[in-house]
This record gives sequence, structure tokens and C-alpha cells, in this order.
Amino acid sequence: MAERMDRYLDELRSGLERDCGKRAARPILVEVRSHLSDGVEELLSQGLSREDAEERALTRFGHVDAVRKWYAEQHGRPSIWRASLWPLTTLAAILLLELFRTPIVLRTFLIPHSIFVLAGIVIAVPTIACYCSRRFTSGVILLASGALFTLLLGSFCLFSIPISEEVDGGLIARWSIRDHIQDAKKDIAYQKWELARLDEGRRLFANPREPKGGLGTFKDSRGYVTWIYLQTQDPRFRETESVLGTRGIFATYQEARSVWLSESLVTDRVTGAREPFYVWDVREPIYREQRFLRDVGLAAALPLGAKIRYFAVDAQYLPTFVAQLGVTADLFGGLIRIVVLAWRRRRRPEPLVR
Amino acid sequence: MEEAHKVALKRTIRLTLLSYNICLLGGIVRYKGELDGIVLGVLQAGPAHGYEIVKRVHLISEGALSVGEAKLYPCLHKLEDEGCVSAEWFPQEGKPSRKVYSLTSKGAGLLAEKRKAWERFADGVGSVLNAGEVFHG
Repeated sequence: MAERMDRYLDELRSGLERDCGKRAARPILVEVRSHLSDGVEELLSQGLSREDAEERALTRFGHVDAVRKWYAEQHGRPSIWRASLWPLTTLAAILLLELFRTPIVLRTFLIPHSIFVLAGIVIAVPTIACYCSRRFTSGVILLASGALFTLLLGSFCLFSIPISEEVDGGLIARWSIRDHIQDAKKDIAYQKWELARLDEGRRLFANPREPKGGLGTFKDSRGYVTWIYLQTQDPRFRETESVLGTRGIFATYQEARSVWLSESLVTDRVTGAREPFYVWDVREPIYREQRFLRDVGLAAALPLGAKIRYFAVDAQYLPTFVAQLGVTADLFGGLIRIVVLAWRRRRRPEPLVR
Repeated sequence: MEEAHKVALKRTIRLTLLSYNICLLGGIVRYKGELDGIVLGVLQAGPAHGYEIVKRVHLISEGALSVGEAKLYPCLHKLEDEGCVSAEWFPQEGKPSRKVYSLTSKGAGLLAEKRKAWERFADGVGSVLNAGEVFHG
């Protein structure tokens, strides 16, 4: 084939490969070449010179840019809008997810099924979008090799990233702040109650001699009950359980006291005092919640730079989440497309006339 | 009929024609929106490759219709994707392979629908163009 025709086809190839991908471009080029070849042959038979015949055939076929555009409409890779469909829908899914946390949605209905509903929405919406946007035209091998990793990480992110649970900055609590404040206050009240019980236990066990009448309300039918102190705070509870074979019920007062007093000491980071581990373990959440409540109050007064900094810390989760989910959805959407195409090809109808 | 009515009627006809993407250019009617139907109609006569379809359109319509050569292929590929036509590659010696298209039963159904729609449209336009005869007897 002459140079002019080759140049035309080369130009068309580069355009098609860019717009439609190499895989789609190859059969198109063969078909175009066949068409042009037929046209040239016919024109040659009409008595035209080869040069004129090629020129006329190419002119009749159309300018390379126009031809490329027509093919791209049918076979083209997605437009910017289509390509951006999946992150947009993913964002929409995340907004829906956030909506579940608002009082607008009927929680009584959603909460029992929320995990399935959320997982369904968050995975299905972008997957369908990817399928519809025909984004999965290349890079199958790359995505397939990363599929397992992405899937695992995506699942981890989906269920473990605290989108609005992060409370360190105060600002991060945002619109769910009321819930967080209520939770913090409840937590503080509970921990203080625990602390009071521990103080009472310490006061009781400070006496080396068994108090008259035992430990009052902590006494059971077999002896002295100390588990009420040790159960939640003390890791040694398991040891006492295995040694004694009972749930922290000690045979004698001295035994219970020795376990209680042998607790290792930890330095309290606020007061600097040496406290038993179980006391420290109860005080820590109190400090944390108190800090949160203090920061929440100050959040509005923070300078803009600090607000941006806090927001950036929180916001980094979102693109990570979107990226992970997007790649996963892209993979699944593409796989569905491959299956559907294969199925359609298998069911391709027979021609009526041969 | 008053002059204003005639102008309005002409405008209506013009808009109707434009809405069907048909424009009259130098006596040759170029069907833009109806390419699917034309292709299906041509394939009804038997399987054909792209170049042959172009030639058949020209031949059957006695030169009245002209199909854009490059526009034909995206249309054929679309019909293939939809299952209205099926395609098969035929290798040729010393020449590029040919892709031959055939009408399917689904395509035949679509063609019947298009034919009905076209007949309705043509009847409508014919009636409007002959409105003068109706009004003036």
C-alpha cells in the first residue's frame, strides 16, 4: 500500500489507540484497511491512477480526526465525566454512610441491618458505576495482581477507619459532637464510680487484720469475694482463676489481701503519684474523656491554621478510603463487564441469511 | 389559506424534517438518524462487508442515498453489540481480512419497527405537503 495510505492509517492507529485502546483499535484498523483497499481497487478499475484512486478513497472515507471521533463515540474509553463517575459515586456512598449516623434516618429500622445495608451500598454503588462507565478496558493484569491486597485492605478500611469517631482534635467530632459529649460524660461517670469502688477496696484491704464481719456486701456464702475489684482491672485475675479454680474467690482474707496489695505500681502522668495499675487503668479513660470535652469547647476558638491541620488529619482517611474502595470497585465492575461480555458473545444470535 | 398560515405550515414542516435529522443537500437525501435502519435493510438482502453495504445503498436507492463510509462502521459495531447483526472475519489472500455482517432475528425485528415508524412519518409528511388539496378540494 502506498505511503499516503500508510500515513493515514498510522495517524488513525495512534488516534484510535489513544481513544479506544490497542485492543479495540486493531480490528478496526484491519477493517478500515480492507475498506480502503476495496475502494482503491474499484477506482483503479475505473481507470484512475493509483495516486488519484488513493486520494479519492481517503477523501471519501473522511478526515482522520473525524473518523477517529466517530469510532471513539462507539468504542471510546470513558470521558472525564465517566471516568470520574466512580469516585463521585463512592463519595455519594460515603455520604449515605454518614447519613446513617444522623437522627434523620430511622435507626430502629436500620441498626439491626445496618452492616449489610452499608456494606451493600458502599460496595455495590461504585461497582455498578464502574461497570456502566466501561472503565475497565485495560490494566487487567495489574489490577488482578493487586486484587487480593486491595480487597483485604479495602475491607479493613471499610470497617475499621473511624470516619467520625476520631476525637483527638475536637473538630473532628463535627456534627456527631453531641453524641460524643454524651458518651464522654457517661464514660467519666462510670469510671468515677469504678474508682470509688476501688478506693473502697483499697481502704478495706489496708487493714492487715480481717475486719469484723468480713467485707460486708462483698462477702458470699463461701468466704470473701474479691473478684469485684479484680475482675475488670487486674490481669492477674486469670492467674487467680487458674490457681484457685474459682472466679476470684479466695479462701482466706489474707490471700485476697496479698493478691490485692501485690499489684504493680504505675506513675500517674497527671498527678505524678505512684498508683496501683488498676487505679491507673481506670483513671486513664477519665483523663482522655476530660481532654476531649475540654478540646471540644475550644474547637470553635482555634485559629484557622489549627482547624485546617485538624481537618487534614481527619480528611486523609477519606481519599485513602475512596482510593481503596475505588480500585476494588473498578476491579469488580470490570470483572462483571468481562463476564457479561463473554455471556453475550456466547449467546450471540445466529444470522438469518448466510 | 392565508399567507401567514402557509408560512407557519412551512415552518412546521421544516422543523419536523430537522427534528428527524434529515436535510436536503443538493438533491441528495442524507439520512443521519436512520442509518441503523438503512444498514439493517441492506443486510436483509444478504450478508455483506462494509464496502459492499455502501455500494448496495447507492445501488438500491439509485443514487438517492449516500452513506458516510467511515460513519457506517461505528453504526455496524453498535448494531453488533446490540445483537442486531452478527459478524464474521474472512481472511483473504494478499489482502486484509474482511468482516462480513449478517442480519439476526433481533435485527429483523428492529427493522420491522423502523419500517413501520418510517411509513407513519412518510404518510404524515405526505399528508401535510398535500394539505392544499385537502383545504381547497
